[in-house]
Amino acid sequence: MKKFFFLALLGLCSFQLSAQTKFMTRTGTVNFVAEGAVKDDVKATNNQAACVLDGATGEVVFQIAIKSFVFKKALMQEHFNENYMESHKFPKAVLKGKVMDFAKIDLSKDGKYNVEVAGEMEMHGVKKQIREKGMLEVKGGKVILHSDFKVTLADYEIAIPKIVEEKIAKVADVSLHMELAAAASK
Amino acid sequence: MKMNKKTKILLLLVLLGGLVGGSIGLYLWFKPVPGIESLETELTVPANDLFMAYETDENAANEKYLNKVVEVTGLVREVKTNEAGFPVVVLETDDMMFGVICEFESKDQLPRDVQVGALITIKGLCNGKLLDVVLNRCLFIN
Repeated sequence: MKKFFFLALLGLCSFQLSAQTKFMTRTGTVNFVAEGAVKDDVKATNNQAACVLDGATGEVVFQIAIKSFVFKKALMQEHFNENYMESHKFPKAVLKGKVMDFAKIDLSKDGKYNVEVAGEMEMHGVKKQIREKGMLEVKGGKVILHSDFKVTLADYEIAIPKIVEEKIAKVADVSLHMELAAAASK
Repeated sequence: MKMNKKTKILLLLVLLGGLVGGSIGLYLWFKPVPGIESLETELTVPANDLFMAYETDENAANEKYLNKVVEVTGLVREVKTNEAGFPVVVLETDDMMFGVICEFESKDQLPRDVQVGALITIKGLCNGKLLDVVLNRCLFIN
């Protein structure tokens, strides 16, 4: 009986631990493809996204440095930064939100959940309310967030000139993949 | 229709110009992103100074460092490989949690013997600050 109490206490402690922990990464991956009718490899990768998930509340913050997107073609990367995203003025995109129905998720054991994140995304100086679907996976103490969603460029006042209209899609496919490890809360 | 000599030369010149312009255009269009080694270092700064500049005034720090090729010196706090398989180094700062994070340009860019606690210098492009100050396309200097 004593042993049982001890185990129960231990279990409670470890639950408390996971509930209070923040999960974090600074090497998350974000890919986007904005291929228009004329195929021209309009895609880029960013391996430096930061993400913090509060294990107690489900609040989540993503931060992405626009200049960390790497393209194959130098000119495309230049246009992306200077003309479209104006990354000298708006160096980062931030998404602050909350994982919906977070109470249903048990971070103390492995499992996969379909989730929705609702919140506010700020990009190119424009703030917009969003709600996107994704997958949350608890695996070996890590929390893996994955989501594929679409971003309508016009929503963020990103203007594509007529001359390249055929090459750049009006709606970009964005995919993000974050492997968050437990971090001591600050 | 018979062309006189002048028209012929003019036509030839236009053609030639088009060819040259076109190839320059194509060259520029297909030019890959240049490697960091071909870019001149614009600023040299200790890792902690860079981080603190961002902590104190992010806008001013962006004015100074954003999109610049910087050479940063500091102690290695953490070495790892990111999800994409590139080596990543976090340099020590006075902040307990965050520092200067550097993603290397290629997989074999970071010497194997670089360990936590080593004093190293890295050249890279400054992309601003998220949790850490972010540098990418980095090159190991020494």
